[in-house]
Amino acid sequence: MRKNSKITTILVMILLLFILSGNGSILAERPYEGVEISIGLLDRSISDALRPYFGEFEEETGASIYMEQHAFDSLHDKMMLEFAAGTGYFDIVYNSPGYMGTLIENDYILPLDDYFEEYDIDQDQFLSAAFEINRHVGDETWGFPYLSDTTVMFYREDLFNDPEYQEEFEEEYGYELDVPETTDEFLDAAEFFTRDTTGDGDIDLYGFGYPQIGVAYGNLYIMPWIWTFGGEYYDDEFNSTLDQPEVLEAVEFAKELQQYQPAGVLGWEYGEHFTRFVEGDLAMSAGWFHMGLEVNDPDISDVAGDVGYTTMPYAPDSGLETGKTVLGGGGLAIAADSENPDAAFEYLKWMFGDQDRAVEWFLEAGGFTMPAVLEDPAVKETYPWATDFFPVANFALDNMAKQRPTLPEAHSIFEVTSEMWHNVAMGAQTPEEAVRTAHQRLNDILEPRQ
Amino acid sequence: MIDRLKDNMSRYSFLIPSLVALGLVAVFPVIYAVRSSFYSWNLHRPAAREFVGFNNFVKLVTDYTYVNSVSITLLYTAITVGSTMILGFLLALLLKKPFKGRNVVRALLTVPMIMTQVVIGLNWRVFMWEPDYGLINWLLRLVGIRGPAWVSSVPFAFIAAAITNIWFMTPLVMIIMDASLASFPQSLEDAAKIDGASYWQRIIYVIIPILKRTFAFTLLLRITIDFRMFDIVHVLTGGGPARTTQLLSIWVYNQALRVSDMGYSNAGAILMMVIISIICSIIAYFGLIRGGEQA
Repeated sequence: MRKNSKITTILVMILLLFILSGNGSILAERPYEGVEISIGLLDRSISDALRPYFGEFEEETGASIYMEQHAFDSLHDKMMLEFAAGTGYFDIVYNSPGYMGTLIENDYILPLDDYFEEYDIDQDQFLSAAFEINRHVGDETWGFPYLSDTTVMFYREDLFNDPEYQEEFEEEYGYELDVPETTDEFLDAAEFFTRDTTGDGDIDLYGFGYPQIGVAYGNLYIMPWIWTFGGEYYDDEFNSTLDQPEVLEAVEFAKELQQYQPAGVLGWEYGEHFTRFVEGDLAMSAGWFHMGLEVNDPDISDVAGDVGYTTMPYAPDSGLETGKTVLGGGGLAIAADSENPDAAFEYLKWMFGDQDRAVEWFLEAGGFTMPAVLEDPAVKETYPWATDFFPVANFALDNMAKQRPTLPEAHSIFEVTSEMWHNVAMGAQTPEEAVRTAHQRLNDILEPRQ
Repeated sequence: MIDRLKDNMSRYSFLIPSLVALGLVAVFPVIYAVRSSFYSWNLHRPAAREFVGFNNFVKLVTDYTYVNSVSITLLYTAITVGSTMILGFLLALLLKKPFKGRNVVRALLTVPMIMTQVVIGLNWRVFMWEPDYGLINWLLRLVGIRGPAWVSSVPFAFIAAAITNIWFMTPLVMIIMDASLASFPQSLEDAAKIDGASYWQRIIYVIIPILKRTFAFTLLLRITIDFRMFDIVHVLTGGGPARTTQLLSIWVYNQALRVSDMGYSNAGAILMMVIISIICSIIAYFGLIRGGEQA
């Protein structure tokens, strides 16, 4: 018995000496032993794809991860309840442009700029859009890059390269048929391709098609056109700027373009325009990243192999060099009432700041925030039909994507702008009338901030 | 005396669990909603909650979006309820006479009623009302008519929303009327027939007056359903284009879950409840209480 306790004492002393002499790196590298990091995310495959990494992170740092997934509205409600009660329930939450204003203006999340500096995050490895999506009013960054998205234009290469169409177009418009770069060329191409190809008296090919139903889609449709023409919704003092001539010009442009879209676009959601495009009914359309990934997928698209990618057109008189698109996706924010903000940031850096892991995660249905991901050979090999799409997506994210209004009043603002657009599209109001009304209503909404 | 009191108390005590459950799930939410309607309470700024008296209600009356939704809801309810009442009753009359396959027809006619409203909205939008490929415009094209963009133009979005509802709700009226007609005393109709009353005279002067309470009950049921209609229209049109199909329930939903203005949204919901209560009380009084006495 005595012999056993002697042996135990010696072993313990050896272990202590081992640790104190600096050889105890195994233990020292687990700085968050026993800590649990709680994450609130959307119920999507991109979040599911994070689960396989939880064990590895715990092994390395000692911190375990608990992830809760909700639908968009449910996550908002859950976060608001927990934050308002100050429970410290979440350490990390999804920071959508739809939540951001509320989270920031109630001091529910932390600005991360100091963390980026302290943890020496190489911000250049990310797309600029990955940070832009985490900005509200001002330059502070409120989330870690998690998901970047924007719209890219798809067009039917077989139609644009058809010699008969090329000849006909040149005769009609006086210049060569090419993929449109400007809004004027875009209108011409849309008009040209809107036609009856079978001769039965019905139009069966449309120049363009994009969903516009309800407040969300109505706004997502008209907002980038307004930006493309150089307009804005409001200025830095929160005065409505819908009375700018650029806004009127954009609405007039959109009205003209509406003639070359199927009659039902005001009732379309995202899936519907994608279906119509892959069925070959549209010469041009646009869509978010996953659609770009799929339009040339032979298992999904009837027009696979015939689809080209380009950026949305720019308005020549706007002074802008590219068209503008809506920035999508979101970031991951650290809760202000988190008891473990350092462990939370450590996780974000570990999971989303490492390029190799970013590629792996992307290939397992994850998101992306680094241009290098789309340039990775493994990614190109997995999606051989989308290799032309990747550089366009990277360019659009870095140069065209723009953050939408993130104020808590955003939905009310979008109600005004979507109603403005719908009234014009239906012919219920002229562009001038609609813009004038919307300008007044927007000022009413923004008045408390002015 | 004491024994009777004890007896009564023990009997009433059995009601307590039910009353507590009812209070929690039915009464408390209403009281809470009424209380909230007197507050400025936006979930975007939960800390800034304050009592504002009747301000929310005053704002509602001058809010063009709310007034628009009230008008649309009243019109929508009048059209859909009126149409389903007539169609449901006519179908029940058709099914009254025995014919081969009557039960199969009856079963088939009830199919819409058992479908989920979201599925109905989606299917009608994509397969029926779609301007290029939808069944309705295809049928119209057969007779040389170019159909409109149903769910995305005025006034067709409203018409499409109403027709979809009528298709969905007519079977409910039909089933109630069918059950009532099944227990209708045939001798009364036979007597009228012997007196020389035509088919339509028998319906108007014999059947309808006797089924007055059934009509009143069905009318109440239908009004309460359609006044609160949400799913079908929300999926079909999203309340648009430009709010032309934004029923009151969609307005309340948007204010509560999109704008996050809980106080204002609750005020809208309370006012909606008051409107529907007044309408239903009038119908109940004339159709069930006074009408019942006359019948």
